[in-house]
Amino acid sequence: MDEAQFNRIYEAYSRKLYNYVLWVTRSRPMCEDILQSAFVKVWKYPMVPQVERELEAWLFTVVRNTCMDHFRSNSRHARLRTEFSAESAHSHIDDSAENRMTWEMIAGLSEDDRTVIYLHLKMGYNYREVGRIMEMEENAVRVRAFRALKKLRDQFVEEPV
Amino acid sequence: MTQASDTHFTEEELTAHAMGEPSASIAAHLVGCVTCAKLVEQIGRLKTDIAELPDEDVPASVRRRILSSARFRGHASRRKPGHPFLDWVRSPAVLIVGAMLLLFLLYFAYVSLG
Repeated sequence: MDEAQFNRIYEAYSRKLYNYVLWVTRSRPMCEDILQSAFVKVWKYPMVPQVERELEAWLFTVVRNTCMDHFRSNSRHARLRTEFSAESAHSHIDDSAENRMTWEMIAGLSEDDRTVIYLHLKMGYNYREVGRIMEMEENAVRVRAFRALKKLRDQFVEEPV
Repeated sequence: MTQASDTHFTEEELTAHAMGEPSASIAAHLVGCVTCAKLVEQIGRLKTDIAELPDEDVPASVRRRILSSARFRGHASRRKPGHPFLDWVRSPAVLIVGAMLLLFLLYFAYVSLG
């Protein structure tokens, strides 16, 4: 990849990828380390997908795998930091009470659940596409999304149905 | 309640419906079933709340760090491109086969001259 192509990819996708990693890790220092490693990998890749949607999905796969590597290599330390406590959950830009409540609910989900919810609800990928990014079966993604939503809904609603 | 609402859909089916896999039979059922309609409405609200959570901009310092690191490591790890034929000649398999061929020729010459 040449520098112009790398810069174009960075400009187009860094914001989405940054927010995805922040969503999963809830730690800015960790997010920055992971994003840096992921972009170095992207830079070294000789061939990247040319179709925009495929390129974006591929970038999410690279970033997700980098997150997993990071968690594995720093397992204990990283886990402690990613324990997305109620305090850290809303150390986000937005302090509105409603958003704070949503962040706190997301805090209760596992990293994989957060990834499914982010890719499906924030990025608009369907389950098959999420499955490709996460290297999971479509049905496994559907089940994971259902369980994650149920968990969120149980916290979200005052009077469960 | 209407007859359609006597048999509720499962939570999984209603979630799938609310999450972008619409079903005509569920849509018809929801018209007459307050319980299922409420669940679908809750999932819809949750979807909207999550989708509307604001994103952050990438801090300028992160951008500088990533771009300089990618350039530095990229240049450091990239070998200068050589000629493809020379790269092929230098490959271990070709070197081993070449060495064996040379030994064979030496042996053949030794036997022929001796």
